[in-house]
Amino acid sequence: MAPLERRGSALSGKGGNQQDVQIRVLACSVGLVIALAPLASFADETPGSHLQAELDNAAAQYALAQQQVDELQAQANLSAQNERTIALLKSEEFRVHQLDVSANGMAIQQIGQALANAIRQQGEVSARNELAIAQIKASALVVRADSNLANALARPRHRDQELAGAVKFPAPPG
Amino acid sequence: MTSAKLNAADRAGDANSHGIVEAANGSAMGANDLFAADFVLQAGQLAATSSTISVSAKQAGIISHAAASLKNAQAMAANSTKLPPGA
Repeated sequence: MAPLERRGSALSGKGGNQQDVQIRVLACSVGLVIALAPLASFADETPGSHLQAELDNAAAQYALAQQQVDELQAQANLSAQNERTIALLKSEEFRVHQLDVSANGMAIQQIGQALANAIRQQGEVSARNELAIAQIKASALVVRADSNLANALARPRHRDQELAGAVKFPAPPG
Repeated sequence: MTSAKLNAADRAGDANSHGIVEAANGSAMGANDLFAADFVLQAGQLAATSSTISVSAKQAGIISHAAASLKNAQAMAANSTKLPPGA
């Protein structure tokens, strides 16, 4: 306080110094009242009302927690149902693919079987055709041999020699 | 048996065996798909159960905390009523 007193006396003399001190005392008092105001409110609150407020707060928090639990349960149910649905859709996709693959394999097998049957029938037809061609060739050879034999029998000269040559089958043409 | 029949039988056998192999391959791939389908179903069921269990633990934590707070407040209130006035 000494420097302030000295400054006050330097500015406005002894009367000004006392006025500054009063203003400071007033400011300190106002500050003290403002700072201690919460204590007054605490003092107004009785212990019973505070405990009742705590009880009400706890009950409200419990109700809120129960509501939160219900919301979590609903969300979990939805999530579980979502997981099951996704799994079911994926499973259905795999099963459809399984059916496609199996049906494709069976179809290829049936096609292969039909192709094998067709090839066998074609081989049968080819064999019969080749047999018919061979029979035609054989009959032509027989006819030729018969004609040669008849020609040889019709000739008077060198009968034995020609007979001997006629019975020999000539070489097939080509 | 003639050459044509033998050749045809050989080719027919090849075609038939190729079809049989394709069918067996299709069946094997189908079995693999079936296994994958079952696996995916079980995985989905497991994920659903996991979600339920996880949420149950969280729910238990929340509700137990709230219940403890409520019990504490009730105990404090009961204790205050037992005290003599002015204590």
